[in-house]
Amino acid sequence: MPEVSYVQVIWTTLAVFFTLFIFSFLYKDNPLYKIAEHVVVGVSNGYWMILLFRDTFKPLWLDPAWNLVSGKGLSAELTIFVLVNLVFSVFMLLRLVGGNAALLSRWAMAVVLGVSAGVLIPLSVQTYMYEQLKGNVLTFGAFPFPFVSVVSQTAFNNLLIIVGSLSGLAYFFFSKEHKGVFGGTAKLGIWFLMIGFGATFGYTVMGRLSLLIGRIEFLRDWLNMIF
Amino acid sequence: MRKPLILFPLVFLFLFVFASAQTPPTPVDSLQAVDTPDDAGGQVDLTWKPSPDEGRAVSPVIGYQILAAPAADSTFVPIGTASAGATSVTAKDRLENGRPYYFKIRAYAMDSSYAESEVAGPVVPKGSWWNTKPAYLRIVIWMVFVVGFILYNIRKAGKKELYIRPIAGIDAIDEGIGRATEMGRPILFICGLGDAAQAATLAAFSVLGRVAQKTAQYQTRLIVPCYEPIVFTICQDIVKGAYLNAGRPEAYNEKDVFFVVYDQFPYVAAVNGIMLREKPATNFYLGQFYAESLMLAETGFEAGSIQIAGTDQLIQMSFFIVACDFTLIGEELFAASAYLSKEPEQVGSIKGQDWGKVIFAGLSILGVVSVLLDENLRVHFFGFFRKLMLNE
Repeated sequence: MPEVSYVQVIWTTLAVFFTLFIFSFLYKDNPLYKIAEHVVVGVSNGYWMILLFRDTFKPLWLDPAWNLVSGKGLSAELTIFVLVNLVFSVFMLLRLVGGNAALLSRWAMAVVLGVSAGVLIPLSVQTYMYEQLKGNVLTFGAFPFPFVSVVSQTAFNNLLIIVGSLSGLAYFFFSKEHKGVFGGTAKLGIWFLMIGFGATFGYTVMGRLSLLIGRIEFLRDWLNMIF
Repeated sequence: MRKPLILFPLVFLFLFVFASAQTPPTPVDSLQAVDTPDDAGGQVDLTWKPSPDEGRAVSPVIGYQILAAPAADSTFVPIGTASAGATSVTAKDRLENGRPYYFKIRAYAMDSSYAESEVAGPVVPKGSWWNTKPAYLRIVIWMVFVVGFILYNIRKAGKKELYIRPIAGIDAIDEGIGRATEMGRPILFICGLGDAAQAATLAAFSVLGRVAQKTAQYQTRLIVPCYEPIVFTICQDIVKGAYLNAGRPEAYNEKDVFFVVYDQFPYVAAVNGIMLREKPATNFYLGQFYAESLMLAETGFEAGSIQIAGTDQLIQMSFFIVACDFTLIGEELFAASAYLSKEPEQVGSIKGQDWGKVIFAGLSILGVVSVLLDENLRVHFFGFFRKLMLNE
């Protein structure tokens, strides 16, 4: 058993108590859980504030702005960046003033939303459309002809992928009511989805159990440390 | 006669020292450095002719070190490595846009001896506005098609009402609001953990507007704990606006739309506490959710709330399906938002996406047929299509 310091024992014991406080929620809401809840929210807010200041605000805005003000020199690109961000930051802070001035914050939000959407849309088209479609076609590279063959496992899997993709698409088609043949295809699609969800559920629950085991092992190690 | 005997150990010593001395390898040749095209900046492409001593019998070259400096006569510092055999590398560490850099390649031999190449540069890394790689051009073509469909349908939706099929779960939204009103208990609305630009969060905003308007009319309390600061400010504006539209601006309580914390599990701890203390009659979980989905939904179930969820996160859907009364699966969330708002932009988007799905299904089938014919019967059907799809 390696030597442990008193400081280590105190911090680990504190972590154990907070773990047990959080677990007490399984019984019902209680003052111990409330203590843990308020501490974790408060600490987390403080932590993130410092982290965002140190890793985002300071290097990306404060340092370049200081270089600009102190005459150390700044590229034209960065100067525009600093000034535009300053204007939009002031717009956001005007929410605290209220009234018509607060409406200026919508310009800042519009820029954030617009830029983020501009970055995300091509990514989504590539990931969710183009690559999926490519995957569908590529899957069939090793598919024996005629494709009704279920002798090969790969062939059967490939058939499932294509039928599942197309029937799933039918379920998410909103311009037509789910009736007749189309309705049947959509129903097949939802079966595929539900089987997929079931598998995902089981897989993730196993992951969660391993987290629980980790926490119980932590409690066991603490007992070993104390006694 | 004694002289040769004296010379013999001296010769042996000379040979030993000579054999064990480090013999520096020949440096790499023709080093060239250019700013990496089609990138966001901060990168430089280096190419060279490898050291001929990579294959020598004694102490061959085993790798290269990339050195960079802001001036040709200043100290060069290592910024990367390349293995033997490499003739190019993209230097991406410690390079800043807009500053000149000089580069050298240091060839290392097995006996730790090394040789440095001539200096290449200066190169000023900079970002490109356009990505001209063919793969990205295909994405642009796709986007033009999809966005074209959407814009056309938005225009169409502005002129006449377009049909969207009924979606199970949408009616439950009004039922949930009615239930809360009858029970005299609040409604809890959670916009997820995504940022404001995520499609799921935008759809959640739309449903929040609808819910807020109804709660204003029915004088039911609406609690909106937020995770992300920008989402929080938007939620405030949406709820305030909805109360104003409903003719009850005085009923809006800004303390009910609040920022909790920008950290996943502390946020869950806080919201779970709110659920058990406020006992909301109805919980809405709409937007992007991650590992917290089941924790929230389970606690809501324990609190006896009716729960309506919607997300585009594949893994979390299964948890919502298990623990909630109604779940909007993936794109149903976006359709629900359009269905409720009836805004031409949203309805047109759904219609445009439906067109995209038809094209997608058609291309899938054509692709499968073309690959089958090509690989099995050597019939080059839709060769162009294959090239287009498979980046060939």
